[in-house]
Amino acid sequence: MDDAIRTERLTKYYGGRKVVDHLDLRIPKGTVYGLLGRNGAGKSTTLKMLTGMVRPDYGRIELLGEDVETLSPETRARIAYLAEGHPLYTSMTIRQAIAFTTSFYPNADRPFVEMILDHFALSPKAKIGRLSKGQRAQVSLALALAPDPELLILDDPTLGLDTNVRRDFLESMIQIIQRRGRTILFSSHVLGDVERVADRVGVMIDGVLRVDCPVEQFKSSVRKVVAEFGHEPPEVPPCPGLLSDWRVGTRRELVFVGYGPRQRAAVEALSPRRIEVVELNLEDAFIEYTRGPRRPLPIFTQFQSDIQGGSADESIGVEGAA
Amino acid sequence: MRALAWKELREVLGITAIALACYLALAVNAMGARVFDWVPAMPAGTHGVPFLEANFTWFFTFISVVFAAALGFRQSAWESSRGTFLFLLHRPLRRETIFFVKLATGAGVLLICASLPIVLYGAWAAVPGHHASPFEWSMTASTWRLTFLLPLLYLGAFLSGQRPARWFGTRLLPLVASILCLALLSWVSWWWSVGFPLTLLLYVLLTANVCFVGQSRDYA
Amino acid sequence: MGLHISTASRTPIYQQLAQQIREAIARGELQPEAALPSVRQLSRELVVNPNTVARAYTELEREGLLISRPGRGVYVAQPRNDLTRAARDRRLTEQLDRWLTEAVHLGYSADEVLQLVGKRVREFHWQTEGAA
Repeated sequence: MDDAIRTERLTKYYGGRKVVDHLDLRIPKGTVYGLLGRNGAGKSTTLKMLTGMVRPDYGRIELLGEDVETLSPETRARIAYLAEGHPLYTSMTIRQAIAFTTSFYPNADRPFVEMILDHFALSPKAKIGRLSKGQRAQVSLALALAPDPELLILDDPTLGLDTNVRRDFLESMIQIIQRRGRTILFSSHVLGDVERVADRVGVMIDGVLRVDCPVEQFKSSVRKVVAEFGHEPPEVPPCPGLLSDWRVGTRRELVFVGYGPRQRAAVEALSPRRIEVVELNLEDAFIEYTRGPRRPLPIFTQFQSDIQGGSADESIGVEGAA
Repeated sequence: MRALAWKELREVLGITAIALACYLALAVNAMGARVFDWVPAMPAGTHGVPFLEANFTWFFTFISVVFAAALGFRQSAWESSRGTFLFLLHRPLRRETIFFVKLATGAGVLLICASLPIVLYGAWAAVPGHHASPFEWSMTASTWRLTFLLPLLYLGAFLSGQRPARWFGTRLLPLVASILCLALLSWVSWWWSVGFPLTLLLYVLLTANVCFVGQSRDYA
Repeated sequence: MGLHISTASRTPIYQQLAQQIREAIARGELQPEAALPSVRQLSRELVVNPNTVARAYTELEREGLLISRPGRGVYVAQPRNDLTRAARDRRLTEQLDRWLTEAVHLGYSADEVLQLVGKRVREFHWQTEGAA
């Protein structure tokens, strides 16, 4: 009932490729939801479908209780959307951009926007086209906040910002969160950002939402499962929680977020000779995941798997002593 | 809505300024100033009959066609390529309203600018003694008709810029079709009984199509 | 008290915070009745979700290390006197047993464990000599 965002079997094809696959997403009001995924995993397309920029091939979307197909301008005014790369009219000055944007919202808080820009020492006379990426991101966020939106949908807002600017931006986001009752859905490729800011995390892989859990659970439930086959390892079918899947020689190294009975059954169904489960630092898992599947040179295979085994043992040791 | 119209006006300012300069040069030179004689095909001096002389018509058509097409592309393809549609279309207005305001602004600018040289040159020619040949306002009819047909080209260009990028050739289809329509309609004999209603119908169809494409395409 | 968090660590942020506050109290850096920064303030300072900070505080309140006084803030609680000596012993022994099991699994001998404990005790900053 009190969901800010709700999708049902949301699916989108680009050409013959399924970019988003039967996405069921429920984000209760007041939640900060971080959507993680590699480039091309379908995050951006999902957010564009939510805001009506892309039409789904099937499935439905409700934003603030209203169907997106027939979203009224009044409801749209309660939603902020920051598209990837912060597109703004580059020929406008900041003052013109504020005047233009706020003119659509009768309740827009212009002094608030000016205060924010003042905070970042941005002159209202500066042309948007002359701003740095970080400044542009701040202007874009300030403009989005002017009508005091209940729901914010941010498409990788820190993409391309350097570390300091990214931190400033995150701090702005924290301030938004502190104003009660706001729902934020943001996509990101930076795990650390999501962990800092989000209450709940989703991970999209090839258009499928594989992980959807509270942020603290996300981090402590990562497991690496090494299945030894002794021969050419079979393909692993997609399974909830399966983050990545590498083939190393005659074994498969799988990374799961949450390794429960269902995941265990999926691995055992492949009848490997031996299964080994180790805890894993999510950051490492995620770096590997975002980098894509590993394809080591055949001669290095043995060498690499030795290193992998060693580091995994060590990480258990650290856990035990803590 | 007013803010949106202002924004569109500001954005087409550059193109409009260039077109206006061309139109003024045409009018000034046709009035016998001979400042722009170096421009090829520019009507020079006051030899021919006003508005019926080939050079004037040719030059006017050339400027207008380029202006109309540039305007259409500037208002659609530009936003598409810069990603600003993602910003604009999230404003709390109905999509039809957004596209309608865009089209109305563009078409308005186009018509006003194209009318300017006709009015200027006509008013000058209407004063006795300015021109060797006799002048009647009815002589401007064919130029007015061309002006009235210009939004056709503008809408065709807008639609071409608006359609999602597939193959370049099919993308330009609306523009090519509208050029053909324009050529046909400017020659059709029964203007008031056939040409005029047909043009209006085409305007309605094209506008509806722009709104439909704007509504249904993916801004990916 | 310098709190810092690391997103590279495997420990969730709220546990990192709780652990650092626990240590600060044990070392005496935070005295009883000392006020802690508000959830809002800490959340902004560390750039983390306020819910995460609140979660750390709640956990410490449950453990009896912190008390929150509505409308005033969160404070370090007085050391517990509510537990009997036996209860306290039991509590510590339980944790010790778990730790020793881990040590056995890691292949430590009894002597090595004693040496390690002795070393850590000497290095640890006890709150007061008497309490130790």
